[in-house]
Amino acid sequence: MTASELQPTRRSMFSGHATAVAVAAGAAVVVGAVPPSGARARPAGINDQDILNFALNLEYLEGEFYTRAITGQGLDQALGSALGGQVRGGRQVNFSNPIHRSFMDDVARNEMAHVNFIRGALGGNAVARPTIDFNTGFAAVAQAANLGGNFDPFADEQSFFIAAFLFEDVGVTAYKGAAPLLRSREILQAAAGIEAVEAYHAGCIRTVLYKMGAGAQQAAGAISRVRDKLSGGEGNDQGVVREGRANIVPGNENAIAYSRTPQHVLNIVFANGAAGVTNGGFFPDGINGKLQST
Amino acid sequence: MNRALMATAVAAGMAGAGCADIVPQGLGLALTPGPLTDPAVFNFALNLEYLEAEYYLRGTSGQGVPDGDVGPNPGVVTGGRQVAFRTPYVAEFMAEIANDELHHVQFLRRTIHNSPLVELGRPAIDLEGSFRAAGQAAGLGANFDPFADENSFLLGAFLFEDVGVTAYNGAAKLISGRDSLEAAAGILAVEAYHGALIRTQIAESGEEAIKAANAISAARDTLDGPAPTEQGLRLEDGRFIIAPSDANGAAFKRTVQQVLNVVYLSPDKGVGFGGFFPKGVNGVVHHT
Repeated sequence: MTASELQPTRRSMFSGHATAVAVAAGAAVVVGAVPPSGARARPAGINDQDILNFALNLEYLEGEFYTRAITGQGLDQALGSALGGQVRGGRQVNFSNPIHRSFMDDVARNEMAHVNFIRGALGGNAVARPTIDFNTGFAAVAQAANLGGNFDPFADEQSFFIAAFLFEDVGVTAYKGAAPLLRSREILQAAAGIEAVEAYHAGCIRTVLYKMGAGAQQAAGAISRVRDKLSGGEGNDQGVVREGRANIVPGNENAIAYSRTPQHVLNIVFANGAAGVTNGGFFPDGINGKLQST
Repeated sequence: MNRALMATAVAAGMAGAGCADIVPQGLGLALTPGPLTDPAVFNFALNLEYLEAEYYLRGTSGQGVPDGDVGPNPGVVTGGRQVAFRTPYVAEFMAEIANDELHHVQFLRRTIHNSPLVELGRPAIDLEGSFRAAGQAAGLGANFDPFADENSFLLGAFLFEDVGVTAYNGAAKLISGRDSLEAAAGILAVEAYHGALIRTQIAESGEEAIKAANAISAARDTLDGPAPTEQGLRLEDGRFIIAPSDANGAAFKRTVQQVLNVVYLSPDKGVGFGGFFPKGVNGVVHHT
């Protein structure tokens, strides 16, 4: 696969059907009055652009992870431009199941499209890619989850799916947590669409891990517990087995996916559950933008 | 409240402040397009959740949504029966989805039950003739029965899940309350988890199943107009698609009318029933 095969079409945000508001053309009624509740509190001085930039840091992380696993190259080569900080670790994975590889190829393309999309939407305000270190990041998580001192996410297919599991549910909870913080309806629509795609990814990875059997299931459970512990210990995370049965969808008693604050998302990617932390784990120099502390 | 009563209530001004324009019930043509309230959006979604819950619950247990969760005068459900799953984990997957969809029904009913102008009851649902028609439209033969076996059930599920994602994604911009928005975003994600589970499983269920899923996706696409709303399970170049999405990597979305086009199995405008909902969906929005 060449970089150009992975090159998504670049578009400006909100072009085309992104603005096709689903206003009823045929049967809508104004039935009155459920007043919009006040916008949810968000950190002082933080606007929609800051939230998008926060998301962009995570998309850089995911984009590099999947692109390297599929192509052996990073986003700079795939997109033909220097995006920012150094990326350490990551290499092409030798998938044993071609269908699984194809699904992960789709995920790689989606994550790259997210990077392009958000950078395009933010224009000159887009933050650069922070330094990313897959070696230190996965080492910290593997140690916390007791996956063994030599856990190598790029060693084989099962290792890669276990590693991918770490990211995807976090992406879902991050976008879901961000949705009520956003003021712009356009950006909200974009965030909802990306959240759904992250959930598709997560659903695939969880399904594959469950089918891989006990070893993969236990690793996913251990990572889920680490994520939960790092991000407040509120029980807002679930492995792929619950009560001895498959648990593909992490959700609450209403079958609604969980949310995470930006701070709790950073706790996970910094591999550090403390407050006030600004770097570590996958981001040894921290992330870029205004939201940068747990 | 049935349609006639609701129309009367509306005409009598029960809708109160903010009630600008009224759809004459039965005509199905709006006088003026306008935004939907959050309860109206959730009421619309409730119909889809009933459909999914009835499908998965009947397929996995032989029993539908419990009587306590369907309203006092629920619509009849036609068809649906327990599937003889050959793969234990597939049965587990489908039972998990069934449970999720029932919880969505219960959550939405609880959330909007005090709101004006909502219809909480289960609409009439057809899980038999609808699938035969959909199967025929997709070229799967005239007797498609999703309850016949495991692969057929996965294909029936495939027909629903991506539609649920596009429906909730399309609703995101319609919802004004922040709590409502967060709930809808959370259900959106769960539907996408389901969609991926189904896609992953069908991809590993053989060539016939993959082709059938592609045909179902194509059939859905012909129902809802030219706007891009679909990617099949496998593209012509052989790549599998786990997350149907646009060039920005964002999931597709459908308007309520486009969703109704799919579940009524009709590409036309102004249609008020058909397909999976032989008497139409409940709530203030029910026409394509």
